[in-house]
Amino acid sequence: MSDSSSSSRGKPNLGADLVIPGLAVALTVYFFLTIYELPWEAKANAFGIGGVLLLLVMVFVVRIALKVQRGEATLGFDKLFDRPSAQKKRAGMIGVLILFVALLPWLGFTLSLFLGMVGSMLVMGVRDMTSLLGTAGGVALACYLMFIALLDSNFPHGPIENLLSLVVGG
Amino acid sequence: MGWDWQLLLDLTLQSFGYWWVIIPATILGIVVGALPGFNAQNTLIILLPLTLTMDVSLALTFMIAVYCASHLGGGIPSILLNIPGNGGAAATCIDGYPMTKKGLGQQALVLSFVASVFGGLIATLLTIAALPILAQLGLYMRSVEMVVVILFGLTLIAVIAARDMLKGLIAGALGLLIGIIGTDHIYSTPRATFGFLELYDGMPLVPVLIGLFAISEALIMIEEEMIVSSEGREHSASVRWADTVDGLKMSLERWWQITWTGIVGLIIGIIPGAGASIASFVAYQQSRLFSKTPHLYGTGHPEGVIAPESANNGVTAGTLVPMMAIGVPGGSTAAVMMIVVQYHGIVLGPRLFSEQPQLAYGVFVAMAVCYILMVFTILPLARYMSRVVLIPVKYLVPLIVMLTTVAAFAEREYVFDMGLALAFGVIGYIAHKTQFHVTSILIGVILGPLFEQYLLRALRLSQGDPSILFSSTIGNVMWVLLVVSLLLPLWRDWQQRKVEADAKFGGEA
Repeated sequence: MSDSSSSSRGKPNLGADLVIPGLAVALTVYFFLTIYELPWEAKANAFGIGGVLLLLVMVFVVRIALKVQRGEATLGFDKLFDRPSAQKKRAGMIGVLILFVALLPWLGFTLSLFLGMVGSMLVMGVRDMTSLLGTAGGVALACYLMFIALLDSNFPHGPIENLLSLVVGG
Repeated sequence: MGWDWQLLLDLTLQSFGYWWVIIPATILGIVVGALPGFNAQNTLIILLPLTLTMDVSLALTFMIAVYCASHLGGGIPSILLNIPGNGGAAATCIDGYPMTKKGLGQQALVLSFVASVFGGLIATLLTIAALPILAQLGLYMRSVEMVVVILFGLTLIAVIAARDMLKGLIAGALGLLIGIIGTDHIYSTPRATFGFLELYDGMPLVPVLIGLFAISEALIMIEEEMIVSSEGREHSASVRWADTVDGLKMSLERWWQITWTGIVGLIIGIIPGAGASIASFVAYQQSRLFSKTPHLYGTGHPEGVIAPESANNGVTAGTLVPMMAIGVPGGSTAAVMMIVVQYHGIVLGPRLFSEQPQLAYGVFVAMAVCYILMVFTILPLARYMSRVVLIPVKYLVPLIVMLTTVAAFAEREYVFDMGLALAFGVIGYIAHKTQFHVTSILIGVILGPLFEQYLLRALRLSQGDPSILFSSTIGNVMWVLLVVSLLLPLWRDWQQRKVEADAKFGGEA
């Protein structure tokens, strides 16, 4: 993994380092809001862990603030968005995954997986039709056989599953 | 106690006679172990209609082979792709994947296989030798002692955090907080569930594991064309049997580490409710503590592969001890085995050893034989498995992302869990990029709810008096050991710095 945490001026960009602590603080505050009226047994552990977490984040923020104030670091987010060519693929991959999960209940397992595989390979730069359709079809077929035909799992059914159950059932 | 050698010999021969069941079951176990979202428990539940029709000893042999092999299989994707097949293999990623990136994937796999097989075998043989004594151990490990055992596992957060303590501790505490999302253990009131009913049972481990490791790793892999360097690629492309032999040599040189970490797994496995995750984290942390080269841990050190793998297979014998000896399953897989045994009208418990010794000891003999046959089944495969890293990233990433997202569904069969895996994938990616160690988050998620459960149980018994945590002799000894294990690295670092300072001063003089 490349570490491109430094800006062009050589100062480390530490803004991205605040994302996880920010999420931690948000979760802690939300956690406290949901438990403050509960009996002590239900909240003792969360208050203990959350309290420590808030304290650690506070120290961390002060550490970064001091570095920025001394001019040793900046608050950039380069760490998360380095390598522009990879960014497009990464965003595309997340988009394909969101679509896959969102469309699964409507399109059914096999068709969603096939389209998801095709989409994700296109995002990754695979253009050869034989590789695209062969790999996606092979994965979708293998998963259909394993999860639906063999294990009878509760994946959402769609046109492919309905058609195949008609054929097999008939 | 006198040993009935004739019985043990007969049982051994009988188990070897079941090779035709053990080998396919081993392969099945390795596959389900290597696939995140699958485990021996759900596989055995699916196969219940098959095992219920088998003869009881044959069914037990089949289930034991699947169970042991699944613990071994979990380490394979940890090493090759930085994706643990199950919670017990998460610690293997820390050193296994760096070995693969150096082009030593085959050696790492062999280390993992040998450690798993011999760790499991040693634990099984010890169990056969000392079954009545070991059976008592579970009775002494109550909630107070369990709190300390889990704290041993949590100290690994501090070890991982060594490079940037603050980031490591924030990641660990965040994991602990995520781990206790869901209803509380006493009043069942929902806490921080964001209104999702799917989170009432707690944060599901499989989607978290898949998100933090598999999806986040895939999002990082996108930056490269291959996951190993060109040098490592050449090495992986020219895989030779010599690399397998090299891995075997590395393993044999560390036979004592395999032995004692296997015993750690056995002891933790005996405690009902504890399992491979706790065992592997504790073994990794303790192994680093007593290592002569602790600074190499996390960089692709063979010892860092051996410790968790040996321990998570040492657990397999341990979880069956309370089931056979007192009729209490030591884990979820043992519970499925218990169903099959009871279906055949066999009552588990102390009387089993006098009334049906062939079954009581037969289970452990079968396990030992499974491990012996497993080594011959799995070792030759290391050479071919290590070639996975040669698949171009443009094919590997879609396969990892889509298949692991599908696997996130497998455990609870909620589409929600697939979305959860994606959310944790993005969190894991940010954590990777900003050096907040995802293993620290995962340790928190795994151990957080267990810690809370045992702590509250202890405090309920004492009506809220925390001094109960220091009320038992075994617990107090464990507290002392815990403090020693925390102070020892600090003392060793101080000694090291002193030696370096003396050498520098001496050199200048």
